[in-house]
Amino acid sequence: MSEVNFEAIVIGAGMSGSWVAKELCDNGVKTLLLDRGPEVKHLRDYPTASKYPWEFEYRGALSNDHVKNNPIVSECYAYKDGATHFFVEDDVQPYTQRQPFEWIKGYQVGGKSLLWARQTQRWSKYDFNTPYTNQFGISWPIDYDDLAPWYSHVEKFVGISGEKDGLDVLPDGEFLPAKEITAVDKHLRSIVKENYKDRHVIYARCAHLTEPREIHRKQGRGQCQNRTVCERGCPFGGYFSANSSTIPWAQRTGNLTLRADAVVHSVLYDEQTGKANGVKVIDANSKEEFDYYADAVFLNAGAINSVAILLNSRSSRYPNGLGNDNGLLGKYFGFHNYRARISADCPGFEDRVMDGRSPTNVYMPRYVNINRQSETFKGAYGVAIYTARYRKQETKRLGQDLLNDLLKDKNFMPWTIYSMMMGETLPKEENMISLNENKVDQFGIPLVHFNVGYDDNDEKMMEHFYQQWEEIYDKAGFTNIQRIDTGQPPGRDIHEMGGARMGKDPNDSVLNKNNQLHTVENVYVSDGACMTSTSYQNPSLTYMALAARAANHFLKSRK
Amino acid sequence: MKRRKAIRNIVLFSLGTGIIYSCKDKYEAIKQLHLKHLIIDTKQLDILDDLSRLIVPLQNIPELADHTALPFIMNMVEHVFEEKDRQAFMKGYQSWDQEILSIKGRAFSAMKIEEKQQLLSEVNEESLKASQELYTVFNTVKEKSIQYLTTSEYYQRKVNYYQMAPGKFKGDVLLVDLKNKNDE
Repeated sequence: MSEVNFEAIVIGAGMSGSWVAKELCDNGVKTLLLDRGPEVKHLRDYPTASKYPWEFEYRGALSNDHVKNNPIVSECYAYKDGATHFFVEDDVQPYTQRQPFEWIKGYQVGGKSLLWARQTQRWSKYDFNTPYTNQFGISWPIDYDDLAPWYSHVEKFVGISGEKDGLDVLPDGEFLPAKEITAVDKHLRSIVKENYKDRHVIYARCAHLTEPREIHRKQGRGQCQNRTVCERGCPFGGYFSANSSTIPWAQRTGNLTLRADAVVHSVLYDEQTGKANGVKVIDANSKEEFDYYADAVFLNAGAINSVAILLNSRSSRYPNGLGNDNGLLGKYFGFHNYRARISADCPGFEDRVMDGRSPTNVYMPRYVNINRQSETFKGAYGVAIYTARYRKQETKRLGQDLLNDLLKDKNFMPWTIYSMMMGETLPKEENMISLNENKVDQFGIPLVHFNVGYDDNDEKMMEHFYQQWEEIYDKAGFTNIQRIDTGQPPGRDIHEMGGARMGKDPNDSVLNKNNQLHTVENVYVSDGACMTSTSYQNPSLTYMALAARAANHFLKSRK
Repeated sequence: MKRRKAIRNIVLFSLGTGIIYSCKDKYEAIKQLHLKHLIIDTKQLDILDDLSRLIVPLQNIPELADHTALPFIMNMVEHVFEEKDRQAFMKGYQSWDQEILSIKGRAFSAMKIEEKQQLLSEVNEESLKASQELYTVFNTVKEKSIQYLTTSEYYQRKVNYYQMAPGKFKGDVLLVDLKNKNDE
């Protein structure tokens, strides 16, 4: 194997790409893993991981100049002092848009696996089936049973904390013990159980090691310490990241070549064989161009970049982008609607508090539009539920009196609850990303152009959520109920998906059931770009399962 | 001659761009901030220092690493505040002494401690008829002094029982048990 020839090339060393690399390397495939960002080595490259809160100059705030220069990424909940170095500043890779879209980027080896919310709910048969049965999308070429073993495969390795809930709307997985939930969580769970047969408040499954198994110790990872500063990188490996888990695992096989600072320009296509034969790469620092060659190419650069790379992979056979005979590449781009929130106070638990910090919360899986469309809107939503009780600071007085109040104070604020709708958005041809042929980035690659927006269905879903949750809060005895519409544009959910959707029919989809381009079988797309519909769950677990499945399809096809 | 001109230029530069520092070391930490937006002289720094020490007397906590919040306040206003809020704060401290003189007939800097405390009580109760900018200064100094204390290592460790890696999370604890545990 020369320095430029490999058996497989994986573009993107993040959540899904690292899984492809791990599966291939475990099975003896000489693999080149490319990432456009710099290397981030577990432990070595977490410069802020062990900084105390008082060691930050602005005590957690960002400077005004920083926010002004980065209005998009600054809106991300995890973009905090101590984690900004894992995000891409706004001017580094600009884009154009017809409607506001917030593209939050994390370019480094490990990608956004360092920054994710670590929520890992499986999709159910309803999530795969209802787009077709409820007539708002094409049929997925796979169903839950196809993916279930891969969910298990991934979960065992990643380490998922959860409870066996026995719900068909949210299948159980391979779980480590759950963390504790709060007094208000328990109350809400019992109220919901008493009043609704179809609704369940459950512990939100998350990728944290609550009780590491042998497989996790082999990765060099330890138990989650509830630090809740995960976005800085975890020195314990307490949550799953590509950096702490899949990448070093793949490296230990001796089959992985990791190349950081490698911006992929395009996939190379051999007109004679009708297959891809490599990738064209631009060094992020020197701007030098390199070609690498392989038997198969896996696109795992994140939904937007994977689609952009394919669109930019032009040849006489594919003048509109690799595998884009039907012109659908970039279309049916999706996201999650996170605009709607509802908050309240929770009286009646004044004698209860939390001790410590939890990296997860509770959750309500979908409860409408399950077997048929029962509401005025299409699609489903789940709800992330956060309850907390914080210390109260008495700050009314002045001088020594104020100081005494601050130092002796052990009072607490009332319990509060904050619930967020996680809404499915409908696959639509007009929600699309494309290349801006008139503007290029610093590498001479056309900028991405977004035309992605909400629609009336999203508004109807939000109204349903508000009404239902006002009722639930009311039954629970909560007060001061407030509807919140953040008004945020698509993208801030950081659940971009679609654009190269899977399907049964090459005429209405880009990928087949194995994540291969319909017409170029040695090109796999197994990140968010492949999604046929969005459902409502945090998608990373599904991306990882699809990536592992696609990699193993390639392995099987070689035998 | 050249030396005299050079000194004059330094003074003019200082006047135009930032702080005029006295030879005292009292404000060395602020000098090290190299403030670009906030223009302030030593007399105004003295007023803000007074305000900070009277509103939240950090100097009374021997265990604190720093007994003044003033450098933190200035740094936050300089770098974290939006331009309009920064301007309001600057206008407020630049006119503070004069405004108090016109309201009370005595400049703040000329007041005895008891008088200053009385005045600040009126501001705290919002009973003093004064400009919005004066209230901006008071509220900023109070809020940022409290923030400086409550995010300090001393407060986080001794009052908030902060642990970087707490290990377990207990979601449902009796308040009385938590208090007993923390008092141990």
